[in-house]
Amino acid sequence: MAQDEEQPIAREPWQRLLGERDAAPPETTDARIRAAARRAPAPRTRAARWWLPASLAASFLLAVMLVQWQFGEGQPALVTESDVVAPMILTAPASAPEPAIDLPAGDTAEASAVLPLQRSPVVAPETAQEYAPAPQVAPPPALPATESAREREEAALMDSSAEARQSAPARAVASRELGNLGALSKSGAEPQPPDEWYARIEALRVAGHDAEADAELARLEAAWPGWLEKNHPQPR
Amino acid sequence: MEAGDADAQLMLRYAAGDARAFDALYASHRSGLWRFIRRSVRDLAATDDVFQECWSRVIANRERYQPTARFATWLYRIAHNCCMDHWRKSGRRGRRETSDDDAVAAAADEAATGPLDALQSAEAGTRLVAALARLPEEQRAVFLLYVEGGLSVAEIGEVTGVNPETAKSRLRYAVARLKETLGADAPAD
Repeated sequence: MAQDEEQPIAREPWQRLLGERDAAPPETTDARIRAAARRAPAPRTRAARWWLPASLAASFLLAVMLVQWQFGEGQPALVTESDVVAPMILTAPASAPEPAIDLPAGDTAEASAVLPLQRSPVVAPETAQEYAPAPQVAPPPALPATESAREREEAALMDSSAEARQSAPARAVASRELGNLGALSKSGAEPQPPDEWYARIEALRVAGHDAEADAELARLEAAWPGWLEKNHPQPR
Repeated sequence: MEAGDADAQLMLRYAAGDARAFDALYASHRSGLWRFIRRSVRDLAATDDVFQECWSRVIANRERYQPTARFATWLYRIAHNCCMDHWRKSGRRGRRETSDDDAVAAAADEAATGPLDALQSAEAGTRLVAALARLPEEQRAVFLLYVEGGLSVAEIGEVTGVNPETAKSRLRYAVARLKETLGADAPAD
């Protein structure tokens, strides 16, 4: 039954009867088809041969162009340290207290090595009182190591402050400091009105900053010659 | 794919770029496919065109070939479609029976291919070719796919787009008609 399903009629007698007449295509047809078959896979091979180097060259060219565009003219090359530090100075909280440092007397060397790392960055004072020089408090005599560490720390801070001052935002901070003292206006070109200036000097004197008050008074006299003698004559 | 279908492996190798695999495939199927197309189309020039078109499609579709069936089934499906396209282009209706005049002309064409062929061809063979030409195209296609292509009934159904029972029925009708034409010269079952 399976044989009948697969081959219901015998093939061979019919194949013999049909014979081998016109059993094969002409040779020219054979040659044409074989040539077409050989041509067909060839382009894929050739394409694979040039595709990889071409893609590598294109990738390299793109990378070079990107690098040139990144570091070319008109583009910011790198973010400098001052670009990062200056905004931090302007935005850092002014009220961050400095932790008290208590070291044993014999650890001077260790303290000098550790303390600069423990200090917080330079903090910009926000009020005129903060800009006023801090009262010179004598260090406790029992802590010479702490005093030595503080001196090194101050030196490091001075260096960092000097570097920060070279940047434009740091210069803006310094200008604002002077403005708060009342010496100059915001631009620094024109002096403030003498009345306000004098009132600030008086306030400084009341607060006990006589040295600064005298210095400001001298600058006021230089900026407004004759105004002081005319309005506030002092016995000499 | 049948495990032993070496032709499918050859076709896969050819799709991967092995041109010698195609030579082996072509040598294996060229004669049977040529006879199938020759007896389907009958005109020698058209046979050559359809034969080349068939192999061109094999080459063009080499990368899309999926060995889900025997390679011969795939090949003869392409050949059958090429024949249908030829009939469509030449304006012949697919279901029209060939007239007796066409059959006589085809038989004369067969017999007139050369003196040697004429000597070799038996009278029964000539009458069989003429009888084939008179068959309906569906029956002729099924008969030729079975005898010349060596396909099974199920594969013939797959190639021609009918179920196996219909293919078997067409085959039986075709053989009955040919036997009727050949009379005593018809092969015995």
